[in-house]
Formats: sequence, structure tokens, C-alpha cells
Amino acid sequence: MTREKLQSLSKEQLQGIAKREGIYNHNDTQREKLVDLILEALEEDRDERELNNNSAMRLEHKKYDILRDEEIDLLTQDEFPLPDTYTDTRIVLLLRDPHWVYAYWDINRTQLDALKEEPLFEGLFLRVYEFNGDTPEKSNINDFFDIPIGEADRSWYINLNRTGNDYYVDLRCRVMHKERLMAASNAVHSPRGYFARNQKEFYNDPNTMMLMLSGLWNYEEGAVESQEIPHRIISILDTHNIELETSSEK
Amino acid sequence: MNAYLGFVLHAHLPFVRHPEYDKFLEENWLYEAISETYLPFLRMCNRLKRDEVPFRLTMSVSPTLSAMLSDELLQARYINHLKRLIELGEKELARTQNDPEFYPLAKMYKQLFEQNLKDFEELYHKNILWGFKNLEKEGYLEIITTAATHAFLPLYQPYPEALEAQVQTAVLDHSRKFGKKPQGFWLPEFGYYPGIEEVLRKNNIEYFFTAAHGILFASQRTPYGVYAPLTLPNGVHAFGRDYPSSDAVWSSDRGYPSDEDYREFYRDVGYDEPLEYVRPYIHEPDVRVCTGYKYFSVTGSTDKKRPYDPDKAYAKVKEHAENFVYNRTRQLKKFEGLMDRPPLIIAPFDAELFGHWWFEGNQWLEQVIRQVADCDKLSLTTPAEYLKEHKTCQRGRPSFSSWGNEGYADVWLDGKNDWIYRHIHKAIERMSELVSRYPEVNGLKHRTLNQAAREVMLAMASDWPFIMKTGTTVPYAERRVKEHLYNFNYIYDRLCRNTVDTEWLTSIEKKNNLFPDIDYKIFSKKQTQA
Repeated sequence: MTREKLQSLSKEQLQGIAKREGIYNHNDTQREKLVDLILEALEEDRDERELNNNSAMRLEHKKYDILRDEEIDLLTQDEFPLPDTYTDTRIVLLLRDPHWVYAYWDINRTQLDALKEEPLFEGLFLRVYEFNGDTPEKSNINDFFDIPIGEADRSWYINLNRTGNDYYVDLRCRVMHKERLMAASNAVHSPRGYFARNQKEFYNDPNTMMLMLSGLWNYEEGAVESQEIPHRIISILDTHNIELETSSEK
Repeated sequence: MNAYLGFVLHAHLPFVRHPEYDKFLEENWLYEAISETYLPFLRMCNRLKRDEVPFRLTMSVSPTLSAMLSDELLQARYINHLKRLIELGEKELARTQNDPEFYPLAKMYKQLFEQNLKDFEELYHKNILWGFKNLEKEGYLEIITTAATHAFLPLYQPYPEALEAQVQTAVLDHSRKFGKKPQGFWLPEFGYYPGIEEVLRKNNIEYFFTAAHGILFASQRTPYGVYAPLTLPNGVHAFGRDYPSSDAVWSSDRGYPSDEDYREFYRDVGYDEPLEYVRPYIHEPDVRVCTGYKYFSVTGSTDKKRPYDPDKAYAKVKEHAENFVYNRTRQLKKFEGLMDRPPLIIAPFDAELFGHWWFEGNQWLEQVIRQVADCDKLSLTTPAEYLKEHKTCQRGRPSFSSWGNEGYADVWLDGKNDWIYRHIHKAIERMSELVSRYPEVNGLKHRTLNQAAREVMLAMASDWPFIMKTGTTVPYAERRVKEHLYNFNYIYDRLCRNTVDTEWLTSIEKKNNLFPDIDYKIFSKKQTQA
């Protein structure tokens, strides 16, 4: 965002941006000072985004980088409103990484109201199942745990116990000390997320050497690109990207 | 030992086309990419051809990009855009006439824009896809496709009909535009999950690319690492990205583009000169944007930038190309005794890196290609060519992976963008429901259903959650997702009431006019169960 652009905005618009940027007491702040604070906050946001992105994302971001005046939504009305929730009761599970899944759900309003009217309605919860095998049958379930949720909750990031397993989630409620299934999610498979290897065989195994050359590299072995011609030291491993596991089993 | 080097360039932009405005800011993404990346790339290929330098490159052209490149409205707008910049060039020549450092630069840029205009109108008759297509015919390029609207596929795993729609539409669209079926598929953001290969195989795709850890953490030990493809149980091949070769270019602090003699991306006449002067060349109302006239070099982390010197930059291009080739040959030495076949180094890049952000990128690529041609240890190849020579590969199934931060779905599934999936998934469910409800229709209803399918797919683009997480045009990305969902829901509601608003439909068809041959039945659940 340029100073010039901010200076062209009304005080109300500046206050709106300040609020969004988490700048406190903005109502009493002088206009010029407010511009300074907003510029500072936006700069911090940019730096944080840059830091949090790996090189692939930073480069991809560059192709959308056509202006320095971040587009700031000053519209008060939503031009294309979307419903807050949908009428059917459902739960969907999405895998984010080997350790986290994202669950979102909808509960039919009438169904929820009816439940709440029942005597001894105790509440809603998610039951997270860990299982092995092709289908989430009872015999395949290794473990499960519950997460109590509120009526207003619509989504949750769930930390998984172990990588390399399959998971699915039930949306359930408890009424009169009994559980009822409301919806079951799709299943997801969490990848191992590491390369398990035997420490002893490591140094003499040509297969493992190929894997190390492919990215799982020990820095002490000197797999950095040479300075001989000319001038560059490029590490072979983008260490920010991958969790490395060096023990034989996790 | 010799090695193969496989450059893979991914050319993609989301579908941005706004006939409802005379000028639209985000359409500049396309104009800048044509001017700075695609046309210079085609010129580079033609120079190599002229000099009889052998080369083979893989290029993925996304269906949304090819739709925009073939669109008459955007072609006409691009010409106007160039003419405005040439006019700015005239003014810049006058303004800098007494400045020995900036005047030659102004002249250089103006000539570049004039060359672009000439190539665009006279050589390619406004459709630069012809340029790519000819290079493929002549054996220099292997053109592949990607998901129809570049959806991050792992987040649609619960909806096989949407995955099928993304892949099938892309393959059909590619075949129509390039006259042949694509053999390869660029998984958007390298987003792979075990199982997507079934959709690819069903659509006759032979190979795709994946992040290195997708191969390294595969279901079985991979004896060649990423230096040979992995053959999946269904016969589709996965090629893994090589870190060192891409990091040499990608790394923002250590990569070649950050060299101080290269051109600085962020200093531009559009920002540096008074508003009155640049007003006709920026966006309305007084939104400063880059014009392409950039006079400074990277210099270092200082605000006091040195004037750009193209000769100095060119010397660096040669040096860095030499370094890249040298380091690949050094890399090669490490494979000795470890592989029973020549290693294949796959170096994938976003095509727009070359020329847009890294102004000298195409020159660097050209120098690398020329040096590889003179190097007896390296040769350029493409995946299809490699697979012809090496029928047997290591076997296994890659692991869930992407090339995003942390290597998985964190960029596209985050607190800033996760809200979109509830709505997009629901739209997919409803689209499948419409297919079951209207298995055979024609006329207006058929058009309506086809438009509904377009709107769902446009909402699925990975670009929108990416921008929400990382970008500067977040409200635009949010509006685009909401607008496509709104359009879809409007159609769904109307069809539920058995009415169609013809005037509204026609306006939306004219606006979001990609995939003219789309058949809404691609969202059939039956099709995916078959």
C-alpha cells in the first residue's frame, strides 16, 4: 500500500482498515499518524507472508504482484452472499498434512432444534476414529477420541495421533446418556510423512544414497553446490519443506 | 556417466476476463505474462531453432490460460495495452533524452513493446498458441495439460465426479486447441494424493510430476530416488522434482534472480513518476501499477538502487548459466556407481518466473540450453521421450504431497481460505444432483446446465485460496469464488423452480465463456462409479 493511496481515503475508510489491521484506539488517532500505523502494519503483514512462504510459493505469488496498493475491500455489502449453512446434516474431512485434518459440518436446523427440545440433551461432539484397512469397519478401528463442540461451531482442525493411518469422523450427539450418530465423514489417509530407515545400513546402502541425493541429505557430507565456478552455494535440501525422520521407526 | 535434464515450464493464469469493464486491473496478469514471458520465450525458441541448437522442453499450458490467449476480446485489449505502453515509451524517450543512463533503457523497453506488437499481430495473428503448437509439431516442445481450472485436487478427493470433471475437461480442451491428446499432466501445485492416478489413467494420461518427498516417502523404497520416474500400480508414471536444480533458480536470497546486477522488479515508472504523468497508463481511479518501464538493478537490500545495465546483466546471465550446467555435471558425479541408467534431473518451474519477475530469465534459459548442447555429459529430454527409451522403472505409489509450504495442503487449506470448501463442495454435490435430475436435455436447459458446470469449476481454481493466503488482491479472489458460487446457486434455484432467466444466462455465458464444448454430464456420479 502506498502512502499516496492511503492519503486519498476518507478518515472513515482509514479507520476501517486500521480496525481490520488490529490497530487499537484508531478513532482518536490523527490522520497522518493513522496512515503511518497502517503502512507499518501492512509492511509487517507482507514480511510475515514472505517469511512464511517457501520459494515455490514466493515465486508463484510474484505473478499476481501487479500493484503495491493492496486491494482493500471497502464494500459494506456483500455483493454475492452465500448461505451460512446448508440444510442437510453432513460432515466432510479434508487432510491438510500428516498431522492435521480439517473437518467442517452442517446440521439441519430443524433437526438441531428438535434435539435441543429433548429432555436431557447433553450436547454435540466429534468422534475421531483411527483405523487401518480399506473400509472403516468396526473390526478395523484401532482407536478413537472425542471432541466436544458447541452448537455454533461449524469447523475444526483436528490433530491426529499418529501418521500413516486412516481416519474418519462421526458427528454425534448425546441425549439421555445415549449417543446418536448424526453424520459420518469420508475417510482420509494420513501419509507417513517421513522416510524410515535403518541407521546401520544407511552409510553403505546405494539405495539410501540415492534418496539422500534426492533431498534427504546430510549436510556434513558436503552436498552443497560448489563455489568453484562461480559464486553460488545452493543447499541441496529445502529444509523448511520436509520433516525429516532419522530414527528407524516412528 | 551421462544424464538427462528435463526442464518443465508451467504456464498458467486463472481465468480473468471482465467484458463488463473497459479496463480491468487483474487482466494485467495476462498482458504482463504475454509481454514478459510468453512472447520472449517464443523468440528464444526461434533463435535456438535458427541457430540449429538441439533442444527439447516440456511445457504445460493451463486450459484457463489457453482460453484467455484464444479470446478475441482479450487479444484486442492486449493490443490496446501494448499501444498505450508504446505511447508511454515515446514520452519516456522525451523525458529521459538528456539522461545517458535512462534514455537507452527507455529505448530498449519501447523496442521490446514494439517487437511484441509486431510478433503478436503479424507472426501469430493475435493467438500465440500457434507459436507453441508449431514448436510442438517441430519436436521442440512437449505440451501437456493441467486441471481444467487448476483446482488443488487433494482437497476434492471426497468428490470423484469433480476430479473427473477437472481432468476430462482439460484433456478435451487441450486436444481441441493443440490438435493432439496430452500425454502428461501437471498436477496443480504438485498436489498429489494416492488415487488421483486412476482419474488420470482413465483419461489416457501417461505421466505427471510430483514433489520430491512424494517419491521419497512412496509406498515402497525407490532405489533411484527422484532421478528416474516411479511407475504406479496402474501404469501411470510419476516424475519427481529435483531440489538442487530448481532451488538454484527459486531461492529468493541465494537463487540467481536475486543477483544485484539483474533488473529490479519493484522500481517502475508507474510508481516513480508523478501521478499526472503516468495517469493514462495506470489503472483507474489513480491506482498505480507497473508499466514495465523499470530502470534500476537489484543492487542489494537498499533503497538507493543503481541504474540497470543490460550488458552487465547479460554477463551475469552467461555466468549463471555456466554455473547451473557445471553444478549439474557435479551432481552427476555423485550418481556414479549408484544407478544402472542415466539419471534424469527434472527441473520444473512456473513459466512466468522467466521474464516477468526475473527479467533475464529467458536469456538464462537460452544460455543453459546452448551450453547443454555443447556438453557431452548432459542432454535435454522430455518425459515422453525418456519413457520411450526406458520402459522399466522403479515401482511404487507416491505419498500425499505438494510443492507448497510444508509440502502438503497448508497453503490451500488455512484459516484464511478454508471457508470456501463448504460452499464449493456443496455446489459439486448439487451439480451432480442436477445431472441425475436432467440426464438428457437440450436447448436452453442444456445451455443452463453447461454454464452451471463452468461456474462450479471456476470456483474450484487453486489461485483463489492461494491469493487469500498469500496475496495482495484478496478481495478480488474472495469475490471471484463468491460470484461463481452465486451464479451456480442462482441456476440451481431456478432449475428447482423449473425456470430459466434467458437474459441473465446469456450475459453470464458471454462473460465466463471458457470451455465452449463442455458437457455438464462430466459431473455424473455414475461416470465415476463405472
